[in-house]
Amino acid sequence: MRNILRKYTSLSFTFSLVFFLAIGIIHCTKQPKRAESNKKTLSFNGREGKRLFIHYCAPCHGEDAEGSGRYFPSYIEPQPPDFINSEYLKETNENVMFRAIKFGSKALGKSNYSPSYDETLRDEEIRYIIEYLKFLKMSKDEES
Amino acid sequence: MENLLKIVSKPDNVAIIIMMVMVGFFVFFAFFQALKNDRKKASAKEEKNKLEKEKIHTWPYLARKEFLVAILVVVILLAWSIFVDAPLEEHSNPNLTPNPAKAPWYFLGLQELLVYFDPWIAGAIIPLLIIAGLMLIPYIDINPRGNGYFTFAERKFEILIFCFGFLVLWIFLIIIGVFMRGPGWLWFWPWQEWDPSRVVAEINVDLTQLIGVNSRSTPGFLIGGSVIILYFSVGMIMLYLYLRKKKPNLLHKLGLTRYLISSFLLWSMIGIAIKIIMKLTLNIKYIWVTPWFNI
Amino acid sequence: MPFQEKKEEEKSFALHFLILTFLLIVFSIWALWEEIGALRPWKTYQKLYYGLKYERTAQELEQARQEFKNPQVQEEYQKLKSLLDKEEKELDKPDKQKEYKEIEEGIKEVDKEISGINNGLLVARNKLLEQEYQYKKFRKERNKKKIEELTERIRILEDRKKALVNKRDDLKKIFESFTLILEKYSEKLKLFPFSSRIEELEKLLKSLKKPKIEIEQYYIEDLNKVDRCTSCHVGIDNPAQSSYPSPYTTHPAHYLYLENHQSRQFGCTICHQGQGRATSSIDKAHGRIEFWEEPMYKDENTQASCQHCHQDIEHLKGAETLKEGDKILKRSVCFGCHRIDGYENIVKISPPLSRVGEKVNYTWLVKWLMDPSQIMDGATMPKYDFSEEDAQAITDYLYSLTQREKNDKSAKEEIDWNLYDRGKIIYSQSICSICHSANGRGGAYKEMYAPDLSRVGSKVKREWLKKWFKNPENFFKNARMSRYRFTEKEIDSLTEYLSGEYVDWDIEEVKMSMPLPIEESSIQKGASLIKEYGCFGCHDIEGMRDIEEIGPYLKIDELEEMVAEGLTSFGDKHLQDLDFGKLTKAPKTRTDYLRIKLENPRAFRDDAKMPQYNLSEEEINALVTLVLGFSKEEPLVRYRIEKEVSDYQPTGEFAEILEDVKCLSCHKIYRKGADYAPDLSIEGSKVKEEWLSNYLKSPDIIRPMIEQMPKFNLGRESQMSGLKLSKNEMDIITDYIMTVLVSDEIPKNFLKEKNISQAEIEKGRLIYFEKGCQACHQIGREGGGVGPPLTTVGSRLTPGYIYKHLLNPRISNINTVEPNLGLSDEEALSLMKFLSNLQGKKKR
Repeated sequence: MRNILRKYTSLSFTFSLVFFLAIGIIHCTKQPKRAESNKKTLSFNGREGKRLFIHYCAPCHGEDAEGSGRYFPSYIEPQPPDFINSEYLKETNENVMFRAIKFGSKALGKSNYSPSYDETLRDEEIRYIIEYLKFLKMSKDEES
Repeated sequence: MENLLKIVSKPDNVAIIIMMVMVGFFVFFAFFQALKNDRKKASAKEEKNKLEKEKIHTWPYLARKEFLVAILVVVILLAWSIFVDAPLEEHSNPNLTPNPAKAPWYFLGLQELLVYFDPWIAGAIIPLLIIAGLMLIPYIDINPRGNGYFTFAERKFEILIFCFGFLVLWIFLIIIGVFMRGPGWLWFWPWQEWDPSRVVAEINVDLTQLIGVNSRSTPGFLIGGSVIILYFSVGMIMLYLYLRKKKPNLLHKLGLTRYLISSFLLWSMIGIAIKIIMKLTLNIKYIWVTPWFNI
Repeated sequence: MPFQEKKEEEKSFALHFLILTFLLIVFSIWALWEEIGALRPWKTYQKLYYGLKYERTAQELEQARQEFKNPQVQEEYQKLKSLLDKEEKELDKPDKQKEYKEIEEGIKEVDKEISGINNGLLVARNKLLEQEYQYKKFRKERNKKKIEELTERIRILEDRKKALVNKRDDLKKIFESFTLILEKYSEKLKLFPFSSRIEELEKLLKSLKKPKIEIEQYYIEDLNKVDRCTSCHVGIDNPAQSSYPSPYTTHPAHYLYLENHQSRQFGCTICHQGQGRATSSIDKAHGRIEFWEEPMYKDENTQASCQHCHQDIEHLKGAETLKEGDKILKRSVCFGCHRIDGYENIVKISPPLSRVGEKVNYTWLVKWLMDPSQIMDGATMPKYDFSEEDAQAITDYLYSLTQREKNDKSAKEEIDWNLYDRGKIIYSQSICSICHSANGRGGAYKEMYAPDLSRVGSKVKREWLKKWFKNPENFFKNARMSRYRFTEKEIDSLTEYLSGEYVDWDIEEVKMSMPLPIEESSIQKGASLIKEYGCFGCHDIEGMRDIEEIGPYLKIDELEEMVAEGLTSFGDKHLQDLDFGKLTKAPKTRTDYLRIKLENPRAFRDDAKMPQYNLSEEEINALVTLVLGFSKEEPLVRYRIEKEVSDYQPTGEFAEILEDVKCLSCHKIYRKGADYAPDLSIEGSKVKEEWLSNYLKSPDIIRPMIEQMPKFNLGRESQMSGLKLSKNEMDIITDYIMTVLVSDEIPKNFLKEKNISQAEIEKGRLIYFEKGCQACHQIGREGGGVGPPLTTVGSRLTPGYIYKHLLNPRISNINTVEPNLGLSDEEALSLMKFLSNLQGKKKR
């Protein structure tokens, strides 16, 4: 053993030095963990949408968008649809939703109870509201 | 232990760990080879020729090994630079002095000396002596042996003096400065937590005060001065007498100038060690207090 | 030696050399790659971006090409093209060509002549100058003559030139007329929308093939900021990128934030913080590294930066979290203990305690001090964690200020049920439940911070309650409750009702049956506890104000160390000044410090004096957002936006009534007051006078119950004690509103004809139902309840106001829920006529 060591002493020395140094240096370099993006929380745009929804839409559509707004008369047909517990949002194209909010339910050929918000809300604000609705639907789906 | 790990893992201090390992290794290796050579020489005293055959040319045999090591060092440095970033520390705040405020590691030996010596001595005179001494080595070293091979027996004195000066008075002080000095430049064992509000009562006296004489008065001045002068003169004279008796050839070869210089340097080195011990044991601050410098 | 070692000369180091050289090459290349690539991640991001943009542009180009292929479009295009071709052919005809060439030649000839003349003119002028010089010097006759000659010659030449130039212009005109129509058509073709778009896209595509990959930065010189954020977030300020993936997505609410704060002028870190100059890694650029003191704000905390320039955050769109934090700060009276510049003059909602012995029962107060939120729902007072002895000591002290002994009044006394019933009616008429919650209902107007009444019968003593109803200000100078004009009997009834209805049976069990004396030692202990915990910071206590060492900023012993600096410049604090105390492992940023402190004030030190506030996570986040932005640094003058302070100061008798009834606790006039009830600034132009005086006497229902105006019994002569008025207060109010609170924008006497024809009313009615107004408004019994019922709107609102409101609902309330339906003037007029006709049944 000693003889073998003597033979390859310089080579083994080189290798071991490099090896240990590499380990030491790699140990020194610790990459910080990046926070994982949580898809379950609402983005900024969604929060804006929530604020707008609660201010403009909740009186008729309900705070939770389930159609039971306390200020919408109960005897009028059609009632505001339940967006969350039905497949309404999944089946509806985003552009259609956009037009519904912007130009009113009349533009979709439905009743005229949901007014046009063309003059009141900007396009971006309408998109934020749509994002919020989608988030509500997604949360409800995940709960069940 | 946490404190120790914190110090050790600081990117700046990685160099010190490596230094400790390397110094230890190379000293060990040098001594190992030297002793091996000495043993060989002792056993081969009769066969002088064999020894001659043991020599090889520096170029290319040593040079190629050195070249390989050079490549290795470059590789290590490149790897280090890739993996370890230069550290970004806090905003410098002129209202907040770091405690302890430590010099870079290569000067920590001198900073440690400040504990024992007046700043003029520790910061100016001693470094001057170190540099001057190192420069003078080729001139005062008259021992021609040991060229190109490890040996200890043939250069005992020179090696021992160098090891004393380098390992004890330099490396060891650096290690103390890195690991054992905490806030307030107080002594902290490596496993102790650095407590910035720790207070240690230390009363330092000057040498003459031990015998009741005020060090700044004239008698104190005279006493201190005479101690120093006596130390050097007696030391040098005693050494001279000793050498004249035991190694007159050496003395003859040295000559007076060389002797004076080398003995002065030798006694200075020993003096530093003595002063350190005096400070640690007797809490002696200064031996000689003058208006221009304090030793 | 048993083993023959190889001679040194014979040893081969080739293998070593090979391995080492190989390592050297590997590491060198690696280091180079790191430097070029890995440490410059923005290059990757930019390449990805341009790749993505290239793809999308290519898609758009395809689409545009498809659209162009549309037969209709092609038809138009070809038509234009054929016109152009025709013109070209016309021009190509030989005689036209000949004419064209002739004129061209002619122009050339004229040009040549003109240049010859120009030459001659030049020579002549030079000679003239020479002669003039000679004449000036030598005054010789011949020079003078020469000058005259030359001047004459120049004149002739210039005339000739002029003629030639005119000729040339004429020729040029004719020349151009050939190509005029040609150019017109080719211009049209170039600008043809579809093909020009294709060209545009093609050009864009070409430029995207080899995009320039370089650092992009905004250098804001006067702030000394260099922001390189857009090196990775390429094009984030481009509103067209909202469908791009992160990090290229358009900045959220771009229209709100970036349009008002252009990147070129502001950069990014002025709002978001972070390390603007860093580009070598995401964490470094976002400042989320160990020693960078301003890491990038998370989500809403970014709004903290708004305060650096905007002094007025109450009306700032886009800073909702900040506003929320401001509200919470005012409600929690943080500035009672912590000094905060800018909040010195805010009225504290905490009641004075000097006469609290008169007001509350002893046992109740002890229980309250131990844990307020257990005793009363929605209590804003925080929890100090007092032990029972400590709470008793403090109560003893407070009682000792006005009472000689500690006593409880039981609510289990005999209730007079007649008065109780009457009190119940008065309670509902006065609509106390708008501000006061009780048993889980009511209290919609949260910003009044009116105490919950669920157990008020056990809390207060009856005599005090009667005095309170008589005039709240006698007890609490800054009370926001109105002084209802109750008669004595009404007060008794109300008190009876409250004492009988809202009782805390647990406290009733432990109430003292007999009054007990208060011990001196307990009083002393209570006083020292109050001083230690700084109750006087929020509550006014006799004997603990205006004393040097107990100023409003708690300059006592260790409290001074902690709060003396106050929160005014919390946002400037250095990380080393944040004392995390026990928590050595916590992440050390300002945000974390604030959040931990608000969640659990005693997290850092066990002996901290700050009490525990019941704040939800969102509320804490809002407060954190607010406080993070507190800073002593003044913004640059050109960035600063001042607060618009209302300078409305009512005077005269109206002002007295306003003070007494506290109208501005709910209403707003000229930007002063609160936002709960409608803004009265243009009320005079808005409503009709008869309606107003009837309404003030007895308010009927306009809005849903939670916003219904209470019956203050205005106009009752007998109850206006303390106010010396020249006439009935109702008249004063009506007069003031009708004369002062008017607006020029609303036309007076808008509807001139008294009788509107039935046809017009019918037209208006059709529009009403067509637009879907009945979804939110009620007429009679039909309709929704989002907006006020319109059954009698014709007798309530002036026609001018109705008209203006229909055209823009935001005219009197910016935050109205009513959408702007984009009505035309005619539609608005018809609707107005219809609505003005809705007068309802005439009241008695």
